Amino acid sequence: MRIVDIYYLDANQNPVFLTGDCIQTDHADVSRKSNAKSYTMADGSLTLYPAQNDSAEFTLYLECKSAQAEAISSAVRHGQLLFAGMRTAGKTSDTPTDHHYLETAVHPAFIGLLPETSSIKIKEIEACADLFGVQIPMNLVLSAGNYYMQNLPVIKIDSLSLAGNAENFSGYTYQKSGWFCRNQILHTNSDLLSVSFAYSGSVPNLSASLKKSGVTVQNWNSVETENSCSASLDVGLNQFALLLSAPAYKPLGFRFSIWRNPAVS
Amino acid sequence: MIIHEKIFAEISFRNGTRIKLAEKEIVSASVRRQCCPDSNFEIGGVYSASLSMTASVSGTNSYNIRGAKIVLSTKYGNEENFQPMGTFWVTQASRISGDLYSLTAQDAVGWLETSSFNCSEDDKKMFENLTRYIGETYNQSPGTIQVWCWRIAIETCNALLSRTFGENLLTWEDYNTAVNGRYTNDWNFEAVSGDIRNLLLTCSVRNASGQTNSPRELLHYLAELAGGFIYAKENGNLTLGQFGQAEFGQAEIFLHEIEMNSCETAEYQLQNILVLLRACGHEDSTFTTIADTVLQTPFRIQIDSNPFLDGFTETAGNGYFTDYEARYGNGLYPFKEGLYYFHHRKDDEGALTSDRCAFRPFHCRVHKQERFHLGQRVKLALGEDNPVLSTITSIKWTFRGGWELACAGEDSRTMADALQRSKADKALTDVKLRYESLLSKIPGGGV
Repeated sequence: MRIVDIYYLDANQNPVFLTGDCIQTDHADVSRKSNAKSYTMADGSLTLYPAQNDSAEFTLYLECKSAQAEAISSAVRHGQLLFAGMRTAGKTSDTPTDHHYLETAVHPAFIGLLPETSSIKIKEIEACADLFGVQIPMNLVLSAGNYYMQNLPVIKIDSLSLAGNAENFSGYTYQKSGWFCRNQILHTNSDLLSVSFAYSGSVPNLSASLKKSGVTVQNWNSVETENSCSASLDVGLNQFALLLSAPAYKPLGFRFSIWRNPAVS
Repeated sequence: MIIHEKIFAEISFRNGTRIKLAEKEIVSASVRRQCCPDSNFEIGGVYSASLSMTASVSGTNSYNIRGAKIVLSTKYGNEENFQPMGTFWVTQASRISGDLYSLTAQDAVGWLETSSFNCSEDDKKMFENLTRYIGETYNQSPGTIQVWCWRIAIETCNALLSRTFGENLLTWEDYNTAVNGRYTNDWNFEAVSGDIRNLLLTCSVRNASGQTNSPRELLHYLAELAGGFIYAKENGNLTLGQFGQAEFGQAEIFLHEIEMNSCETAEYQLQNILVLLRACGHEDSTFTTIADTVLQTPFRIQIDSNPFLDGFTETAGNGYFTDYEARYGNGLYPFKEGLYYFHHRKDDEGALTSDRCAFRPFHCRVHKQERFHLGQRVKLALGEDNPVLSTITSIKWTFRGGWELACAGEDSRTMADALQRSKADKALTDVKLRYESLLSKIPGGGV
């Protein structure tokens, strides 16, 4: 059983898994800052020991070919739920040209998504500006397997912040995507997920749409107020994508709240 | 796989102050336990667990922290409460920088060492009591190996009281027969023709060279006869451990829980083929069988230096029982037979179960939200068809670093082993020749 995988989505949105050989973990740097540690297991998967009480991010270095690097859009998937951004890092002069080193920073809060927690909170994920500078879209991969769906009344991401000054973002349209993958093996009943956003500051023309595998889902409910909008849809099907787009004038403070409607059991 | 692991340590200083440490202060921590030497398999091991810790401890210095007691506990994400990882006393402390210290500590087994006893009045009294309670029970009162272990623990504890602020350092915890069934050779007494007869005969608290055996050595000899080992459990209590102890069940480890490139397993198992021991009226006693030399490597249990004697051989010699069948049929397990079967569990009736404990040398590093124990049976599910069954004889736990598990043992069929033995034989021959040479020089000393 492979619990933690690192993969990216190919052109057909199918996950392509990286093997353990591609994974380098940064022991020295992380351990200096915190007690967080990671280990590569015999089957190629990763075991992570997050440092819950530390503010330091958990860092993994992935070695992959440039073609993969361009395509890599998602990072670490836990069997149930895990969340990571990714950015290029550590490119050195002696690096083979077809290899890139990607660094994925896993915020401890993300790793806090554990079965015993009744409420999952992801706070202040810092998405770095260079993430966009190299045109690697940051896709947030959430796998809401039945385990969580059945055992957690609420799956909630408190907030997602985009850091950086306005100049860095100027001229771009930001698209942020999230895939919510159902565990197909355990797939039983359809569950209702609700998605809502709240933003701060003045962001004119913010629009949000919820798509299922690239096709806009029609039956979602959207409620927009001055500073927030929310949406919900049936995610009994395997996958859907959440696209958020807004012209950037100022640093954005998106707030994502994704939860399972407690009323639906 | 994501493993949440928390740590908590309470340090008690001699002056009574206590400091609590958690993840923020503890940079690293590891605990190593073992019941066998690193390379060989043996029974009767009495090893102290050692704690290595680097932590930020404020308001002290390296002198004051030495001798302090550390109660360590950890908690995995799937556990409700913190679980004990051991009680230790700091034996070495050095300041790295600022409040950051590197600490080494040992658990209660360390108090059993000879160096703990410098022959004060309390020490003398302890040895007197041990002589009285352990050395003279033949034909008087039935004692079990456990009772004698408890006696050693309590006498040692009393002797240590004066230098440990009145704190009980050694608490004996009985082997739980209700859960585990009986331990090897627990029937060391029997009513024979109306008399209580100890199978286990007297032992001098002094060894062959006239020096006093430390409590640790006495426990070692008793554990040897019990086919197990003595150790301090995670809760700090001293106890008798058995290989394949039922309360620990069988740990099952899968490929995705084993760290890459950390696992090695032997193809063979250790197979006990011979027991050498001393018995009243006999130099030694043997029991042999034939090991399958393809998948098994033979090993011997050699306890002929054990000062406790198999007394039942003597009573048999006195005519109570005359052959092996008679003794076995009466539910008695003289040591040679008991130890031959020591890797079987015994049910509460004393019968050997089919629950056999395998000894297959291996070592691996495991990341799993589960706790492992010395003597615990383990199954490594490395492939679908050929799981490796073995027994844990060495454990090293590292905070957020998983568990290093091992079963000690070596292949006695290798040439390297034969070469070592021939060196030992040569040394022994040299000593004998010198002895005979010296003897011949003594007037009237030659044979």
